[in-house]
Amino acid sequence: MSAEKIEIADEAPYYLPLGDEVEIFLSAYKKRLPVLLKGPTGCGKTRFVEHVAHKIYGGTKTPQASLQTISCHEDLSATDMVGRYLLKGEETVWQDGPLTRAVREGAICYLDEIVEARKDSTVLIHSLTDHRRMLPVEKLGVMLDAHPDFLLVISYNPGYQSLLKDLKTSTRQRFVAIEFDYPTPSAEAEIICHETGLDSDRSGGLALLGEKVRNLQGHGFDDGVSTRLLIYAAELMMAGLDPLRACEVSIVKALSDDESVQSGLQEIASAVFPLS
Amino acid sequence: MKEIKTVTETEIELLRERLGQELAPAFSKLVGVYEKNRDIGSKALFIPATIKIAESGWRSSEILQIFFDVILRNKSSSRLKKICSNVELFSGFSNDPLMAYLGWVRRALDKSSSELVELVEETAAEIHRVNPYSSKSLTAYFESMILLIEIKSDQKRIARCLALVKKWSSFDRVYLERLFAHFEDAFYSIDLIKELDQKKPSAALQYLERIEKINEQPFKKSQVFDDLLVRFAREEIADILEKLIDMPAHLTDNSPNLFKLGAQLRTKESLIAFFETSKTLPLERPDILADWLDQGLKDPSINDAALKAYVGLESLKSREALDRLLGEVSLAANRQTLDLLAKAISADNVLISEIEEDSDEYNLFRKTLEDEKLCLYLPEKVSAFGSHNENFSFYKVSLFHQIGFREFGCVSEIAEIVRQISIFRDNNLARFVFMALESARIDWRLKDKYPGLSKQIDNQRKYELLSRTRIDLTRNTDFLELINQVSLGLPRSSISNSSFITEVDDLYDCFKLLKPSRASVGTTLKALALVYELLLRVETRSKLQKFTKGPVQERKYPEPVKYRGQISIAMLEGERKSNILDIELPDLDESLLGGDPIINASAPGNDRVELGELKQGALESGASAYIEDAASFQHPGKVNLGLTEAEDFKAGFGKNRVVKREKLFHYDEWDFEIKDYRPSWCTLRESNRLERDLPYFTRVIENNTDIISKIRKELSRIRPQNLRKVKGVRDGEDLNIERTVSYLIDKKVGVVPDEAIYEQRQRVERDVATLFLVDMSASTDDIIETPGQHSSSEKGGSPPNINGKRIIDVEKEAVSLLSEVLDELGDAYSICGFSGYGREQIDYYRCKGFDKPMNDDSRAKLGGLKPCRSTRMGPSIRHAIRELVATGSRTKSLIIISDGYPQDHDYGPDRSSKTYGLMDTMKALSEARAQDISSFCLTVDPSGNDYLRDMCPENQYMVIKNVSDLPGELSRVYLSLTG
Repeated sequence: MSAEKIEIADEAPYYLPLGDEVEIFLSAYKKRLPVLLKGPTGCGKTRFVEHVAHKIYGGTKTPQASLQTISCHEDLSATDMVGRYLLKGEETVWQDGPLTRAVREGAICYLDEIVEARKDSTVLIHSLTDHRRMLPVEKLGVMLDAHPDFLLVISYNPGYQSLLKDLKTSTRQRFVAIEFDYPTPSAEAEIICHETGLDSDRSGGLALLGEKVRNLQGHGFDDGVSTRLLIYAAELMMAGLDPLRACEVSIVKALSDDESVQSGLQEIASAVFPLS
Repeated sequence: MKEIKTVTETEIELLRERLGQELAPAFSKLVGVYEKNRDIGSKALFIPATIKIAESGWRSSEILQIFFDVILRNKSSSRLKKICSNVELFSGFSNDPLMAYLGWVRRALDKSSSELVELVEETAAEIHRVNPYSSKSLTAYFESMILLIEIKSDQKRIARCLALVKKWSSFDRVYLERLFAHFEDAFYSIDLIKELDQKKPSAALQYLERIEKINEQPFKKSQVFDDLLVRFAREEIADILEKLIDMPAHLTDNSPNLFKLGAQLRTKESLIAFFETSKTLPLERPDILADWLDQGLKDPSINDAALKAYVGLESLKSREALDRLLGEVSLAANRQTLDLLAKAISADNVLISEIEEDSDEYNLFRKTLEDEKLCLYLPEKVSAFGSHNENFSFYKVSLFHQIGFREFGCVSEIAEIVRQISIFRDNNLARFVFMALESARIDWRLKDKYPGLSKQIDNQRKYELLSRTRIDLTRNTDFLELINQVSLGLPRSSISNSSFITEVDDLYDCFKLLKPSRASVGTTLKALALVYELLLRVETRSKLQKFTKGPVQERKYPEPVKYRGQISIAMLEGERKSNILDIELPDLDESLLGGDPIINASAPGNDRVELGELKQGALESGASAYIEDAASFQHPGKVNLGLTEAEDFKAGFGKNRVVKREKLFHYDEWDFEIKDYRPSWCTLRESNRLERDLPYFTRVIENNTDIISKIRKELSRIRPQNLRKVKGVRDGEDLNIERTVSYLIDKKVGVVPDEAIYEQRQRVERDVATLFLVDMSASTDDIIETPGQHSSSEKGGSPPNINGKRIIDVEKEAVSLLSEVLDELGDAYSICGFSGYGREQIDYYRCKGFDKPMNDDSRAKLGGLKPCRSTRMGPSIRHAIRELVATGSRTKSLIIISDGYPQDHDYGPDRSSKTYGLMDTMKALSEARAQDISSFCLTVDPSGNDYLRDMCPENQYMVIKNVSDLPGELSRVYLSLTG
């Protein structure tokens, strides 16, 4: 018990609100309305969920117990989410999936990149997201009623979804949608500074670089550079790497394989950070 | 002879009478002279000659006078004999040669040596011998020979000249004619002409024909020039000479070097190509030029055709070699990088254009009409700074500087700027000062915001300062130059001795205002007022101190700063306005209301307007196209562009709008002869000028429901099962009972069990993108033979009635029918057509893009495809590849439907040869394979087997014998490529 107490963080994970998204989420939680987070990759959706999870359950549950995150992929089936029978010794044992666990124990279940998941798994959440708030566990033959603390949160990135992979209307219309975008340069500089401890000049430079690279959205790559990548670059600088080289490995090379695009990006970086 | 010897007095008397009053005195004098000397022999010579001349008719008296004069002056009897025999010889059916001869000999007797006279006469006799009837050449000859008397040049030269005349007398008459026509010029260039003549007489002739123009050129007297001509004389030199005559003045300064390099070339074609490109070559760097040429000449893989492309800077190898040597950066090679950079910094669609040398008007509209992008202007290439990096940094700094006008508020404040500037009395001066101040501010702001750029900006400013003229402050025009230089960071200490010390200090103070990072356009305007006033002060003072002479001097503005591009206030103003373009559209309304095929108003409610090229010519041709098509638009039900849309378009014009333009793409082309790509050789235009013909499409679908259902049946086989059960995996959704049982049994028995006991449902997803490329060349307009002439369809069924159909119709039908089914299938596909004329103008028409549904607009576009011009396949395939790759699909296929050879009027140097086009198409198809695109060529050309076998890999082409089979075959091809 004492060990568990140590794990409970006193401070919420750092998140710099860019608008009223935190209030919206808390209000939605009050009414247990499922939430859809829309936004480009690496703009802080996951961090936001961690942040609000701590705000909601802070001090009462461990981060693990307060938030079940499922990263969806194209082979993610309903079984993976709900649970399955496993062979254990000579017995078959039922193992709850993360969704079932969140439903039973009352946590936020966060389905990241929901559209990547197979259609059968998206349909599964329908009964959880309306007034019924229950989860059919087919293999056990039961309907689980959701714990009062349970909340379903999904995220998706409208940028690179093809028509084939769009969210079904019937799924989409069960959520309160909060839209995310990359922070403004000054906010982003603050985030980078806070996350890595990098000085404000270079944080500002990275934020400027981020802003400029994002202008290229739709010219060669679908998404702009994520705040996450900028933070990586900052971490590398903190570790003593030359700023330009740090940008090259964490931003330029990460964003594109196309040589000419890379050289374009490198030129932007070299305008922001001088050669050492 | 005997008779002549005894010329009687009576005869002389008769002759005198015949000569009449005018000539008789001279004749008598002559006779008297000879009688006195008792020179009966001579008399016997000249009297028959006189009779001969007298009988020769027209102009005889004139000639006789000269003749008498000659005889009188002549002292030698042998000479007299010679003259008289020549009179005999040259008096034929025309008197002109005789007259010219006597005229010449009269002068030559006194002034020239007898050797020369004899030599000339001898040559004349030769001319006469070879061509006795060519009185013209003989006349011209003697007239030319007068020159020899006058100039008294060295005998050797004269001898050479006459030897040439002798030689040429046996040639076509034109040789001598030209020689005599330009005799004086030729005389002084006789050595060169003889050399040319030895190599090839026609070359000498070609030189002669242009000798006057060449002599106007500064390079005429150079040995390298002569060597060059002699070097290529065997191949005839007319075109080389023409090139040299038309050579722009600035090149002629470098001509010796050009000639020296040119003489190394193997063929005349490459020499001409070399001269043609010479204006784009770095002539100021002869060492580099020589190295570059040397590399090309020594490369064993470069054959003659490749050498021509090499020196013409038309091959990839050549460009790369030169750029490498120069450290040169070219816009073409860095366009993508600079594009990305510009887009990133400006957050806008940017078009980077070349600065054109002869244009000082940089009108944003001129460019924006083609494209809705913001225009930045950069030089075509930069090589002035020694290294590649420095050269590139010029581009970069220039780019940032130009974008800086937007980034730091100048564009958004332009209305205010213009208003304030208009307050100043001297508007131009205010504009100049403003731009200098604002440019300085932008430089400082850039340095502040982009620390990485700071050093590069400083370097450019330094370079620029070094290249500018030194300032002499005694002239107040130099004060303007001073402003420019201070804006470039000229240190205060470099201006010392000046009577304007306080003014200079004030100027520096004004610039200081702009330095802080909070300085805005407002600050610049403030500084403008101060500097303007300062300038007035300077002017008044210099007038008082009489630094300037005369009344009002015309103000001379300094040269613009290079890296600051061509930005002017007018441009910035234009940019702000570019959201609201006011284009004059003559007679547009009428054609629109009639449903002009060129202009397509998009759906109501959307302010976007699509326009084709709005050139006058295009509009005119569009209008005529409309008139031709008018008949089909008569019925209100069939008008494909309704009145409402047209009205919408008109209304839209008053409002804010964006004009959607045609995109241009540049593609390399493979030249098999030079075994290299020709870089950015072709310009492909994604044309919006597509006609719409929805009824056509509907009709095709309605008439061919049976074929559609056949295709549907065929393609239904590839309808994917969404999920497939896979048994025996280590992890899955369900336990597989059988495997679980055997697992447990194994375990119980003590055998190591197989753990793959789960089963999983795996998704089988179709990820297919197909592009149908339809040939729209003029030949597709041909009517297909009637079915009666065919053997009946191989598949047995009766062929659809294709009576009177054109090839394009069948192509369109096939694609239309297949598209109906593909839409149901849900596969991604695109339909495009291509045609064009020449490498600069390849048209690519997209009826349906991958991301667009097959809606009525796409259908109408497909229906509206019609035969245009040539079939340049390579670039169209390359463009299709680009589009296919962009889809990111796993299976990509390209289906080309054509009716014959790839051909275009300039598809290869030899128009009649089809090899170039074939090879380029082959290369393009292999590029497709390299990108994992499977291609297939369907052709209705019966001779297709011959070339498709070479062009496409086995099983990737098909020649349709019976065009009615095309729809069926097309779907089978589709199936085989994507199934």
